[in-house]
Amino acid sequence: MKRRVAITGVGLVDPLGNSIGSFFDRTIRGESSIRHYSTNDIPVPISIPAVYCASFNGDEILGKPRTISMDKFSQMGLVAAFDAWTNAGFDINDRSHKPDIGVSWGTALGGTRIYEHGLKEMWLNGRERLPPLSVVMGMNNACSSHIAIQLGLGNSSLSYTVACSSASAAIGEAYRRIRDGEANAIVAGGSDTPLIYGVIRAWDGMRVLSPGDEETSPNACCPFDKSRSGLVLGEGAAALILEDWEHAVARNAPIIAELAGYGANCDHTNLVKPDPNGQIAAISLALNDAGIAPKDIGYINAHGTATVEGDPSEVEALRTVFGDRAKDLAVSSTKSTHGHLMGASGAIEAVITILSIKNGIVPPTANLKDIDPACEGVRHIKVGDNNKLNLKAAISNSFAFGGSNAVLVFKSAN
Amino acid sequence: MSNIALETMQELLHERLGIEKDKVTLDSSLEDLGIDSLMQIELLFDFEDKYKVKIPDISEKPTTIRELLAVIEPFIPKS
Repeated sequence: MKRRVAITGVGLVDPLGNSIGSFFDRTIRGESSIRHYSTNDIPVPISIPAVYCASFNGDEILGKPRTISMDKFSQMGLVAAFDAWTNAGFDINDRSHKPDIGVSWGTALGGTRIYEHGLKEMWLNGRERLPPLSVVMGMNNACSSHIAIQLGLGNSSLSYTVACSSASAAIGEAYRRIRDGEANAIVAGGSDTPLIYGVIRAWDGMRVLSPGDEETSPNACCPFDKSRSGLVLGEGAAALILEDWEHAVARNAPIIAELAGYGANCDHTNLVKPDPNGQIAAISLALNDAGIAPKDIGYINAHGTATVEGDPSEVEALRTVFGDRAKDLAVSSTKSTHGHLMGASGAIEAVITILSIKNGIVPPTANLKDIDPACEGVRHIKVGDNNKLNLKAAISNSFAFGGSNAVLVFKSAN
Repeated sequence: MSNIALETMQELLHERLGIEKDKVTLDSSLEDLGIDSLMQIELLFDFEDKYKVKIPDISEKPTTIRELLAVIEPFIPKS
């Protein structure tokens, strides 16, 4: 007997330092958190449009003894996890052993920042050895470990590195563990901090970063638009509390929505070029898993990175899966407001999708004005469009470099 | 035990862990201060960095600030 999986808590790091409610309201209005970001790194500083959490101070929020061994991606992840944990009615000060609750976390870059810092110290400053904490701060499972330690979660601490699908895979695999009776609840989500000099330079080298200056940066990311010119990097974290439905009901927890289905597969064709056939299969797998017909899906939170090749591929996949209904299917990409959070993108977009279902309103694709003909065939939600929808169910797509696709189907709790 | 070693330790623990300097005495328990084995190695590194010296690995398991500083002190300047 497969168990139903409730979502009983959500949390995130708001780029502007406000609450999750403020973040969602801005997202619904299509307000961009993208700003012009400049590094001061040597040898050559770089300036790009990006989402930088300028007000985030892990030491202040979490306290210094706790953060001494934590890279920024772990700090952000722990803040989001605490937010979701509290939202679900649990106590962040209760560190008692919980053998039935675990962590499932996604990150693409992990503690890359700490390694880059170490390399700079060695090559630029002649340092022979690196701080011993570098190992535990840099490991990709560091954030998951910190969440487990801080909350006493003994069931499992699993980390997933699947590029841009990392958090969606982490959430989906957690869903399976609960559904199959392996755990009663799991803190699932992701965190990434890609605004690291070497990482920015690498993405810049791929020529997929959208350009922009002080004035144009907020509008630099334009998914599905004819004028789209690439993605915008963002840092951040988001978390969900997934819980066995009966477990949640027994403790009178607020059930925000249901995670009803998960589909994961691999294109196995190309490292970077998306394959609509793989995406079609992943969406179909998720729908079948949820036992939901395409006609019952009211909204798609698209992967929609605003790259030239990615956006048309995703819309082609949606047109195929949803057939005649595709033209009425509400679709938006929220990356033009919160940026591309790399391995954490699936988590922040899952939170937005869940809150859209709960509140009966969906976000627009900010900056979308002139739809690329190759991206037509679905109902793109633009700023100013009627976006109030009574949603039974919605989907969040994540499609990663490497061809790894992960699709989540959420249902209304009612 | 020199004042320099203890004062340096107090400064480092305040900066790194936010521990008030007057809470760090020679007889303070490392466990009570939240200094585990990994943090001890990190502190050795900090001393090495500050005084540009090399301190050998810890063979005995220190339990107090006094015992930890006994490992460090021979390698730092006297003034």
